Amino acid sequence: MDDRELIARVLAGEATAERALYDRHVDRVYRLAYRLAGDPDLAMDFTQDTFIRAFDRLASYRGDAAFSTWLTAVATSVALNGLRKLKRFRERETDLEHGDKVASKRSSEPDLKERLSREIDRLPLGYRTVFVMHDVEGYTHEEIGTALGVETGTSKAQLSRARAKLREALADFAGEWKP
Amino acid sequence: MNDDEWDERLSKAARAYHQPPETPREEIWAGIRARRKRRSVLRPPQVIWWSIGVAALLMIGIGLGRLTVNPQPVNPAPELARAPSRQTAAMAVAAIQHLSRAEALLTGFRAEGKTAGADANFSASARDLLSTTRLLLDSPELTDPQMRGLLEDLELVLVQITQLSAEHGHEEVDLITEGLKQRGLMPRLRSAIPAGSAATSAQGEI
Repeated sequence: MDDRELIARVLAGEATAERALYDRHVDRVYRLAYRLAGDPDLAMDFTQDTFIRAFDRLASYRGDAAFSTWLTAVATSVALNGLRKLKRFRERETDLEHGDKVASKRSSEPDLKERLSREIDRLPLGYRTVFVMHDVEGYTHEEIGTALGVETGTSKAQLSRARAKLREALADFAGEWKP
Repeated sequence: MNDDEWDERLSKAARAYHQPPETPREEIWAGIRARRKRRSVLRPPQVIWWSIGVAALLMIGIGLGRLTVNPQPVNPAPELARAPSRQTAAMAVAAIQHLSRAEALLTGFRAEGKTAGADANFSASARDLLSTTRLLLDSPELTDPQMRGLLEDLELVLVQITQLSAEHGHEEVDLITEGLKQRGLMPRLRSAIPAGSAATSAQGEI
């Protein structure tokens, strides 16, 4: 049974079809939510929000794009909105703590993967989203463009800027990365 | 090492970034069911939604009345007289007035260009419009799929504007402007607003 048929059954009120549609797509949604959030609770919240919103608005899915693409657009919107809210909350908290612990020290971060992880976290959210979707999760620029509502050229440009920022931030590791 | 080699290594190393565990399918599904059930219990009956809609309509009307100086007597829009029900007519009026405000905001936002991110007024106005957008989206009287699609796209853009940060404002403004273009939101908004400003003529009804 393909997605269209499942969707028709969901819209007809068939509860088992809803679960089948969920089972088919939940891994992809959760993976992306987790990659963007980096936290199991947040990833679970974002995944739940995505499916609740998707089921609510299923009637408005016109079938122009694949259902997985439409669902990815919902998932990225939910995750990005959630992360922005969280960022504002954390910024307020950091202000209260005087931001003493922000400075990074090369000597205390010997692990390159850990440092890379931290630098990805520091990317502006737009760059980070495109980098994670493309380089980490393997989405195409077309899929990213549809999910974020931007041209594929914009997605490519954002990825290029994200990589340039990471190269610059990790320049001191270049020697350690030689094959 | 050249840039391409760097990027390849970055990309490989980045696959370990926030490595997801196995999907907790049952836990997530249980959460979805619980939240939907809770929501259906808490959802106010239709009459309350209708009251909220009327309240929102009145607020929009009062706001527009304060902003608009029009000494000419205004005739009710003929479309409204033919509307199938009072609720549907009220929804149409509220939606058109709302879309007029949204169009004005987005026109200003685009005109400001990259500096729009630094202007807190845009975020404040977008927040205001966002709550009405969601109200309209939740209304059972919203049956037109085209209008629903337009409001959903508008919701997404308004959310982005409300969350503009001073730090990365330029990049975010670029993304929003790009999204506006991609979704063809401005022409869709303009074509949804009847010529002759139904927003102002509708005030006669209110």
